[in-house]
Amino acid sequence: MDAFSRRTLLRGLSAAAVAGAAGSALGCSAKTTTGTSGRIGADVLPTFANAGNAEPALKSASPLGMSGYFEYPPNPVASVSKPPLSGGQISALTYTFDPVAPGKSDNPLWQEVDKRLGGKLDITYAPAADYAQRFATTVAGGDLPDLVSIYGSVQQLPALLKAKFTDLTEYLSGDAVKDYPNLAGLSTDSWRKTVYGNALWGVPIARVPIPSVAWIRADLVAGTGLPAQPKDIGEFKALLKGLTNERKSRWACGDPGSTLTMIAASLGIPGSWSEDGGKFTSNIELEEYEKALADTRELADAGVFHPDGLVASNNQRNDWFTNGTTPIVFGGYAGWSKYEMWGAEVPGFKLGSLPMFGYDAASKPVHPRGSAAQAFTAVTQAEPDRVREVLRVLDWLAAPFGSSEYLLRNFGIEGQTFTFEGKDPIVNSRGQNLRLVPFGYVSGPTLAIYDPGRRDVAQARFDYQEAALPILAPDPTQGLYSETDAAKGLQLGKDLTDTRNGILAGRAPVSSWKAAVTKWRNGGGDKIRSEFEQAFSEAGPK
Amino acid sequence: MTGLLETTAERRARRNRHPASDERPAWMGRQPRWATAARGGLLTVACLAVIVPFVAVVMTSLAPQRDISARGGLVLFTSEPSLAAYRAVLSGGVVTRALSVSVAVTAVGTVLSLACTIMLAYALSRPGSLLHKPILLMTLFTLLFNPGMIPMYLIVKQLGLIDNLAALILPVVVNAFNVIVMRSFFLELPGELTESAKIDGAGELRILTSIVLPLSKAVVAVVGLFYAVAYWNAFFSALLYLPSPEKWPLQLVLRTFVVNQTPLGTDELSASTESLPPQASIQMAILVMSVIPILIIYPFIQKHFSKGLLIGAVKG
Repeated sequence: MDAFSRRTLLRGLSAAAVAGAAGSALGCSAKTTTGTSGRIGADVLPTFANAGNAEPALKSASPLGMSGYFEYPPNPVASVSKPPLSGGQISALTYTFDPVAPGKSDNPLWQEVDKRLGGKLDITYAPAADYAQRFATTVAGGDLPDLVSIYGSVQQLPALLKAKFTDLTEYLSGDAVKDYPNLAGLSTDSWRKTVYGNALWGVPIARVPIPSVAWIRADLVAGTGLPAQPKDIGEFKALLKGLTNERKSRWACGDPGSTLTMIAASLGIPGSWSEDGGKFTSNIELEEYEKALADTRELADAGVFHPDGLVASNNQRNDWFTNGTTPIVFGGYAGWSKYEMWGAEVPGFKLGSLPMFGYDAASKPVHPRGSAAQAFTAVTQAEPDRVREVLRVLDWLAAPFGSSEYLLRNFGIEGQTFTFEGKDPIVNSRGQNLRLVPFGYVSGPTLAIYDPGRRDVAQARFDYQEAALPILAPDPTQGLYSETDAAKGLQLGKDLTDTRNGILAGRAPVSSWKAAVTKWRNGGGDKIRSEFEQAFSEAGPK
Repeated sequence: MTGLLETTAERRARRNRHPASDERPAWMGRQPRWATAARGGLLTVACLAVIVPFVAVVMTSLAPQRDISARGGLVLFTSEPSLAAYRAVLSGGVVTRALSVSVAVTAVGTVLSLACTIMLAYALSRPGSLLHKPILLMTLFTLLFNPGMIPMYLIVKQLGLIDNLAALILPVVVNAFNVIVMRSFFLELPGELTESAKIDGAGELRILTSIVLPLSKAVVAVVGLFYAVAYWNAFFSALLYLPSPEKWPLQLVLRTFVVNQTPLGTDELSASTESLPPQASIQMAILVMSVIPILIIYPFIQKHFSKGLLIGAVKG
């Protein structure tokens, strides 16, 4: 699981306020356990107001959380009464995680979206992995579409935003967002990702900031007498050692890096930065981090990790998990139903999750934090009336779960692309293709937990979320920008990972970590720190 | 041992002189059985080393998730083969459309590239052609330095080629390496041939088409294959220059299946993953699909392949 380890450690470092790929900043301070630093952008953030009126079966206690539904709300109605466009055209450039969708001329779903928008929405897109190149050339070429996704790390981002895009503060800040009720339903934390220089620069693609989950094969633990829900580091180690049987080619886990992250979180230390009185400290500088490193090394020496663990791909690790080679895997929270699906083929398969545990009775564990916004959509400079029109389209696209707009965007047209089975819309094979248009990466609502026909899965996902959100590690860098981080963060993080992997593979002693941290500080870490500190002192309410 | 001028009849006679194995020279003698067996075994292993991975790719593309999970990756045999992965990739018409784009770009591009490369290489192989040296240097220069992504994009944009399939061909129509290979081959042709043609009154074009090209089939086949493979595999230029996904070539469309479907999306659970066949099957199905055209073409030009490349490259 890269979600925990590489992303926590690495991206955590490079997270900055860059609206990063999901799971960037893993949060932070052992000392402050409040959600996030409340002062960043406090006077520009939009006022939160729940969007939509579909009553969820499971209502999240946190505004960050997803609500759960066991069935699609009956009689969906439009959340936006008037078409946002009057015959005009809007162009957008975005990314996608899906295969290519059929073009508009062959795509009745897209045509119907246009019809309901009252104009034309033209989207061009690139695979998420290649988006950076596409973005760079488009910006260099100069002809920007009306809407551009800011996804991944972008150098000189604040300057770019100022030069080419619209400062949306006057349109969206505070109560102004009420003109766009669906956008007002996006979590406040997700908006923080769009704040640069105390101004709002886009509309976030909001996500629940839970990056990953430690999954466990409950069926393989049952009957072994091992603690399936470890309460402290001792039980955790006992579990991992107990699950390992090298003669039978079974190891507890295939992912040493993520295990390290989990132990670090059990000590309550952040994924990236912590802030105290305006001073920033990186998690890797903390003594506790070294302690977690030593514990993980001890586990590695005991042979609990798959021999290929450090170099395996996520696909491999998931296969090891499904076939029982490693009964513990770290994977994306979003992939919950995927594991259930693979497991359905395995006799006796039972999916469980390891809750966060405290290192010992005194420690306060945190859950690693992902990014509350996967990306954000910036609006190219235009006349105020045009900007309002564009924002109305984004508002339409952000119509929440349960609305008729949501039904159209995600499931299509009844009879053509989906049919209702009971109360649940089930997409047919034609719909599977047609609905791949990446509307949701241009603008979308807070996601919902909805697993048609799998009430137990929905409940488990919801329960995990509700347990994790209150203890999410805080992230003081949200809404702050460090140029050094955007430019060098990834490389600096890679050097640290190499050292970390060397230690976990037994090639270097734990004590070599200090030298790596010094190298990181001199190579740019200290510069990132001072840039964050400066941004932090400038960002407060005026 | 046989002379160059030996006739068939002589050869037959010579063979008849050695009817019994005992009289054969050592290297023609019958092998002891163990040696034959060892050689057979060695060749079998070598063949398997090539064939097994390919079988694994094909089998995995047909396998259900259960087999893939059980094997932890590649599958060598599946009891329930299914074409679900192929169906998933081919449904919706996007891939078939992309296939026609790829075929068209590859065909047109290869012909254009060959024409330009042959003419350039021929001109550069004639001593005393106009601006011979500077043009050669300029060509070589592109081997060392290329313009980089953004300058290329700006030029393509200024030429008005954005969202035009020509953008996949024109910027890469001549490849300096291929020009060098071909020029070296042309330089090897005996000058007497072209001289005699000249004496007979042939112009340069006539010499090129009637004398040089018929003697250069090997190198033309090789360079043509290089170009064809490059056009077939290109996805990055399409990513940059073609905003409309309807115009994307096969490789870019297939790429969206492979790189985007990181199933455990720590980033995202994509809309389609729920219904798709196993990721490994899809990847392998895509591999099979993109290898097929090369497999079809290769046997026809294979005989020219090693020969052409060696002749051209070694003496560059």
